[in-house]
Amino acid sequence: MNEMFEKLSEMEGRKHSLSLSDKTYIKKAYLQVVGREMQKTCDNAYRDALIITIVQLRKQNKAIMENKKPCVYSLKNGVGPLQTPYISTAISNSNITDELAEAYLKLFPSKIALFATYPADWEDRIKKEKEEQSKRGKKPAKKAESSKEKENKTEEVNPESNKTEEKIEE
Amino acid sequence: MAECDALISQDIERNCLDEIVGGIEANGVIINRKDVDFSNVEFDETRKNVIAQLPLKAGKRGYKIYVPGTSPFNNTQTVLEQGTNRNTFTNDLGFVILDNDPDVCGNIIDGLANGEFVVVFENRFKNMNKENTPGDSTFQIMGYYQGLRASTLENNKYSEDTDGGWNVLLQEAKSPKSGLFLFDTDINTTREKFDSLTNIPA
Repeated sequence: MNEMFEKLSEMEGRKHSLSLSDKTYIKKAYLQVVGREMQKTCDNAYRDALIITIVQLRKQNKAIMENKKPCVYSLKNGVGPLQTPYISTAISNSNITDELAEAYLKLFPSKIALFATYPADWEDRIKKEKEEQSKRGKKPAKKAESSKEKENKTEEVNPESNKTEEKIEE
Repeated sequence: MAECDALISQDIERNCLDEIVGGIEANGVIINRKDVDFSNVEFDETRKNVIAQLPLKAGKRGYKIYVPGTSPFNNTQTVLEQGTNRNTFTNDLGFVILDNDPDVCGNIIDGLANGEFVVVFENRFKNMNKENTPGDSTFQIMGYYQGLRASTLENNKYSEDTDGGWNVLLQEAKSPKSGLFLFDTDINTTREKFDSLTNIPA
């Protein structure tokens, strides 16, 4: 991958005079990195493909640097972005992560049929996450209580705090 | 058993918001019909002629069709076919392959000769000014019900139309619907689905 990145970066410097062998290499690299064949619809297609491939490689390198595990979930072709008002991002193969996929499957487990690849224990993973979330859900309640207690204490110490709240409301 | 209604439920008038235009864009996708994951296809909840989700089976992909020229997918049409008990529609889809080598013959033509296919193509008429679902005319599907089968595959070495390449005409007979469209949420979401049909499976 590093070798490919270096070669493509070198081509980027002379992207206005690409040779036939450069174009063949870009075509192969694009297919390998982006996962689909490049569209040769205009003269700029190879330049565009070159830049897209470099950007994609940078992202992948960054993910490796951050020790991110490769995502085990992928959507079937034709499924496209999965959208739900409960998750802020639309899930597609270009942005899918284990966390996003599991958050979606937690809401719609029957939609596992739209996934091309998924771990055998996906149901257990979701259950675990649900349990963790319910645990997490309890903790903030305690925190909320403690913060209320603190507020009460501060009110006792500083009786003017109520006045400022009233001003804000006004 | 049910008595199916054969009724119309909309005024017949000119589309003044978005004037209709003929023709098809140069890009399409052809899918081996057996690769469509029919059990997970989702139709629009309210409109019977709209597919919202057209998933392919795991590990399967569609293939791009790019037809250059002023009239891509020439000879593509839908016509009524009269039957004994009910009328249906015949879909014709034509395109040219401006190439001819052992790979084209082996990987495309021989498969087209006997296979069944589903094709998704992009109309020039997008209907972007439509009030409720702008862009829902963009992507149309043929071959979903009966499969498109080859009715013409010819390689005329002196043809002006194909420059010695292949002329292809696929036909789907007895389709119960006059038109089937791919649309989900908006045109961008649908285009992403359309593009993802040809992704190389991971």
